Amino acid sequence: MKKLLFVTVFAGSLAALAVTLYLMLTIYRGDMDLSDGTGAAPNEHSERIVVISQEQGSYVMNEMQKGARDAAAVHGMMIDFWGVYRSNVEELLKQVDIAIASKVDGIIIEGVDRPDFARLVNKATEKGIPVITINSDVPGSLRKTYIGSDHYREGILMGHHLAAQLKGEGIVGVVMNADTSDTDQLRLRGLREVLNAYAGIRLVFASENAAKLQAGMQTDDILNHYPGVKAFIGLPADSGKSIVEAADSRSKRRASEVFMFDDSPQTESLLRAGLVQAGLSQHYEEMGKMSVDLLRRWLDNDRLPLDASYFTPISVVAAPGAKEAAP
Amino acid sequence: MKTIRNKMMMLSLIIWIIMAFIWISMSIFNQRTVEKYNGILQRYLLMNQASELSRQALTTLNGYRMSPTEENLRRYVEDDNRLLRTKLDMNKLRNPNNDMLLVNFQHMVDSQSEAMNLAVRFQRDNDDDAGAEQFDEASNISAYISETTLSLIGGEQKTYDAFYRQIIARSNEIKKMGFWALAFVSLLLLLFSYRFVSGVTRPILKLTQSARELSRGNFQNPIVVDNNDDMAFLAKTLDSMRLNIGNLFDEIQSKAQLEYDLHKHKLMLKESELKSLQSQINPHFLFNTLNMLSKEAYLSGADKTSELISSVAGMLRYNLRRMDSRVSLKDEIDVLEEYLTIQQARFGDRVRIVREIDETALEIEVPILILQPLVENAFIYAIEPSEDGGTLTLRVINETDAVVVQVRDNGPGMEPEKLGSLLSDLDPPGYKGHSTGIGIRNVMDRLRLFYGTEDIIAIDSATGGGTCITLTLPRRTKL
Repeated sequence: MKKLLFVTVFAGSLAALAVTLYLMLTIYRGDMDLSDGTGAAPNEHSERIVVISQEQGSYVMNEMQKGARDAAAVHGMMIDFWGVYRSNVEELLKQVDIAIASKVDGIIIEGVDRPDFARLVNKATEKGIPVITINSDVPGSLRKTYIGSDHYREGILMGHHLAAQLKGEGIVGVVMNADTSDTDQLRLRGLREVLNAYAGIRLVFASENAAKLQAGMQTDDILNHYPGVKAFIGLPADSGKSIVEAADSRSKRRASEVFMFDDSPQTESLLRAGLVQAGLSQHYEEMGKMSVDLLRRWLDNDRLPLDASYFTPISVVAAPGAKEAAP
Repeated sequence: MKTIRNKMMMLSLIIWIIMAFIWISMSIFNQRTVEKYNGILQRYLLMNQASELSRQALTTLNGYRMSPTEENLRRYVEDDNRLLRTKLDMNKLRNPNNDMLLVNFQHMVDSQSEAMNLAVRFQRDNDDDAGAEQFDEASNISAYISETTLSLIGGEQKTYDAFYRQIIARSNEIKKMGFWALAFVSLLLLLFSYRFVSGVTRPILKLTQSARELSRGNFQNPIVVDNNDDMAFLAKTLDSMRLNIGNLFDEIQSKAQLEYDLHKHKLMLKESELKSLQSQINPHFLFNTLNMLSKEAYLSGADKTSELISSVAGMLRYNLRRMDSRVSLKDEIDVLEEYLTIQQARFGDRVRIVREIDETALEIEVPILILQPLVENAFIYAIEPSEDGGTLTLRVINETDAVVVQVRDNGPGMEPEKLGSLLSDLDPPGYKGHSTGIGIRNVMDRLRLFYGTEDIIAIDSATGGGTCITLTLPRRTKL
């Protein structure tokens, strides 16, 4: 009995010793791990570029960021992505000002066609900071170049396709971006130019009040005012689903035809489901990559001057079913 | 040898070392954590300081613009320099996560400084509009700096998020380690003290038992304690004490026995001395009385009685002489004559005595009382048992180097076993006819002692042929 007690106590003390040593070892190893956090700083002299977007987190922006990040990694540049939400221009301008104050080596920005924007671009140029616009241009500024789709051509392309689909007949509801942007204006201009040739096709818009609203509400508004709408054109990316849902809730008898100006995953899935009749293939990732490449060229004084604009290719993507109905 | 004191010291030392080790390691871990914390806090403080300085520089610049004195300018330049120094200090805050933001921040500080310097220059050139514009620019940039500071600090928190979690986990582990270490030390202490206490108490118990046994007088069981400390020494000492006491005890006992024996012997000696005194007193009294009786008998005309009593008295006087004294053979023969006279009176005609004595040999010295016992022996064994009595022949022959004395009887002779018992000085029990109590054996011994040779006495005895005892007394050369 006594011996058993003795052995128990002995075993207990050994176990306690083992656990203590194990914990001590764990703590010691944890101590080694703590010394991360402050790693060696990367090359101090690599160039810093900033990408400023109007719609952070949108599909378009994500694609462009992906391309830009990869390109920056290839060139050994530091890149940061800034941006505002819901096209807050005041904030956007402030960020440009911050970038100028930070003396970055290059700014890539979704342009806003406003005089104060142009003034800031000019200020940056004065300080020797190159500015490249991407996706939407500000031709009146001292930007070095523009990279992105030719929105005017987009409008023309879509106009032709639309006319062919509707066989020159019908009212077409246009769903706009909440803030009327240059991009929308360019697209509309292209559309109008084409559709003017077809007397049977009429473009209608949401009322002034509703124009500031979401795509679904705009659709409702258009349907309220023009019950005979035959087709919808969605300008904002990722708005296809709202338009389709709003239109379907109103008239169960027949689905309106919907045309989009992008090929985001949402639009693509709607295309496959036959709910959207056509989209436009864009190359946002390509834009991001190209913008960084061109900035690199500018910084290296390589093959200057740059062209005034570099357009990425565009084409109409039709739903499989719609294509058959096309002729 | 490990003493108990050393053991205790060792135990305390071991426990102390363990506790110190645990305490030191825990302190070191905590110290490192605190240092890390301080490092991070320093970063925060530095960032905040830069932002603060940016605002302060702007304030002093404003002060200069309001009242453009040299003093205010000096104050502004000082602030500006401090801002730039802080900007340089921030280099050491760089890490992969905040690299770009930090560089932007530093450039913003530069931009602000440039704008402010421009503002100062325009102020000096009295170009108020341009100065105001630059001041606004600097003010804007200062606002950006504040914002950037916030996002920098936010980034820091994100960067060190894992670190905070680790620290929390580690502090938990340190707590756990402390508990386990406490448990370990407690158990170890329990173990050690158990061993230690039993190592001390068990020998003490054993010693107590041994001491109790010793006090009861049991010195047989050895005391063994197989520790290797003071207790073993104590036990060994006690054991040797036990052995010594046991030995002493035995010695004393044997001495006491010896003394007791000695005492007894002394008592016996006293008694025997007393007896011999008694037996000495009586013969003298008897002797005197006999002499007086002999005179009385002579006076009353009983010559025969007087002669006999006189013979008895003479024999008695002779017998009372010391046993180791020497006498001449003539004296011996004379006493023998007295004895024979008494025996003649007793046996009358039953005994015939033949004397063949060479008078020339009687001068020789012999031990006292050697002939009378031999003759008495012959009377006892040969003449007394026979109704017809017998003939006793006493012969003294003078030879050249010795005197031969022969006592011969014509009795039935003696069997060898009887002869043996005779020689062994064992008298037949119950017989009280001896006159002196001196046997043949005694005679033989004294003769051997006196002459130093063995073959003095020879006994020839044949059954039915009588017994002849021959003494060959060598002449001793006179010295």
